[in-house]
Amino acid sequence: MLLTVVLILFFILLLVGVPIYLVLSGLAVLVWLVEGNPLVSLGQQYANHLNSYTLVAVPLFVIAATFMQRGGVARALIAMASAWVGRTRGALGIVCILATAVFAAISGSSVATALAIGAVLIPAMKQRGYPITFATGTIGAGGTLGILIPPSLAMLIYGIIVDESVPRLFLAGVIPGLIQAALLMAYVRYYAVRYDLPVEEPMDRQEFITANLNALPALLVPTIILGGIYSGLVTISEAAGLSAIVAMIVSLTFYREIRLRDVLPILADGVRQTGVIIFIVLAALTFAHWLTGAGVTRALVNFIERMDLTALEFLIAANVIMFILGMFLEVISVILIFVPLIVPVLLKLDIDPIHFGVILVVNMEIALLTPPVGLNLFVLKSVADTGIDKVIRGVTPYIGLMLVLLVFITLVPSVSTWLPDLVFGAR
Amino acid sequence: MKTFFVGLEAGTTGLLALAAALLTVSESILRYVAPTKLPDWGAEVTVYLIGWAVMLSASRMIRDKMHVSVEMLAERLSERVQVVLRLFTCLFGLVVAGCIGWAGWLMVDFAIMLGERSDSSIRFPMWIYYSAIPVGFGLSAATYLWQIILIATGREG
Repeated sequence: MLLTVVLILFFILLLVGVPIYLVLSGLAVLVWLVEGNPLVSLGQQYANHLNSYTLVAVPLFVIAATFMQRGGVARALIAMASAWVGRTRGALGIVCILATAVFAAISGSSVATALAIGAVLIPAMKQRGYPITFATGTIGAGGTLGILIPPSLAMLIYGIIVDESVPRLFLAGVIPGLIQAALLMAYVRYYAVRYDLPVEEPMDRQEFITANLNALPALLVPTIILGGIYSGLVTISEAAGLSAIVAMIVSLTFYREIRLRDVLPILADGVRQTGVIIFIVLAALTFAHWLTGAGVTRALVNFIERMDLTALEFLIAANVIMFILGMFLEVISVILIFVPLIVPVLLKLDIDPIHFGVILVVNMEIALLTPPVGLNLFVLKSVADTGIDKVIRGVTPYIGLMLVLLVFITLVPSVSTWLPDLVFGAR
Repeated sequence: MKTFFVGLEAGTTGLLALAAALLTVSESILRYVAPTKLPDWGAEVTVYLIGWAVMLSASRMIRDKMHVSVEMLAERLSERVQVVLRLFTCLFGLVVAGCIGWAGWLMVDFAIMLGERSDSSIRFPMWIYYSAIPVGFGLSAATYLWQIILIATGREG
């Protein structure tokens, strides 16, 4: 009975526009009071969930991304990519995918990636006569690589919920991320030839060298993050701290697009951007604690058992549910609401949580592009100063390509698990 | 006055985040350069710093409308109904944040009564860390209350 009331309230509160963290917190308070649990234990739940060293990595990665976004890094990466592929037809489209892929290896956030690259490339693409639908679609789709190519905030939070190795999860995203980048570039190439998009002016030798040298400090950050983690020299949280400090130093001293007085506001802004996520994390984990205690997850496992679903059938059903949830909810919220419910089912059906993590993240990439609540759509609408309908039309072919990728990685688990197994050993 | 408090919030959270980042970096360097000097409280203090930084930002997150919500239905309703829904959200926020803030305060009180301290060598008094929860949710409740006043008096920006 209480569960039914909670579910009805959940949807009503969401629909009337109450923030997700408040909906989950409110329901947690409600069930706590109805079941007569001491209120002090609710406070304890919040403090315990906040007391996570892995969670510390989230704000530090976001701070690094914020420095990179405002500190001139995007411009340097775009210049480097242009130096390499500028003579290709539709070069700015290819540059966009390459730059977003590299920026993704810095930022861990799709929105930050789309914002940083879009702010520089969309005006350039407009100026060179690229259709606005194509420009926004390409940057929107490329930006989603931010949560697939490591580091990834989505994988970090998934790792915390399922208690899975974050370095393994990060590695699992590499090959699917590269496949996605290749798919996107293939489409860009097809479109460029079909619609005769322009090539860029050739660079002389000196310009080519300068563009590459200028990008080196920016490339230092992913080198530190990934090199540090996979050599075992630093933990995830230490890598996040290092990337924040290096990003700050590089932005201040090399690219010089920010000043010393901007440092504290940027740090505070990074904390606030993360705070939004952390408030949802605290509320969702507290609510999930009740769901587990109330036997909801157990009931779900029993239901799956009665349905006699195979692992593949379950994955297909999960994909459909995540696709629908992703249309209406923000990415982190979907992870925090959906994953705690299905962890026992994954174990029961012998599905590798690493494989499922990648499936989840690709779903969430698609969620970033699907209306009505695709965050990248709104970022691009504001960066490109165009109608949301044009942005949606632009991302539609890319959503098709990403659905192909989703089917592929769902059917072939080794695409996700091969690299982590190679590096850390099979389990 | 408002500018002062906004600056104070940004400055404090920025400094806490900077301290957390520097602490994690110093830990990773010390581990290889001077492992004997590596403190056993680095990770713990980093968590406290980030926890406090996030909770001190709670009010600003509400004021800047940063929290994620599903607005597709609300946006299609008349302005009058939208105002009613915003008022409802603020009332709901006031009650919920108030309850969690109160629960957090009970936990702080409990930790003070027990004299709870961390396991590391600094034996950090846990009530100081726990206080972040009542402070963060208390600030949230106060912000929702202020927004209710603004909506009710027609001064909403």
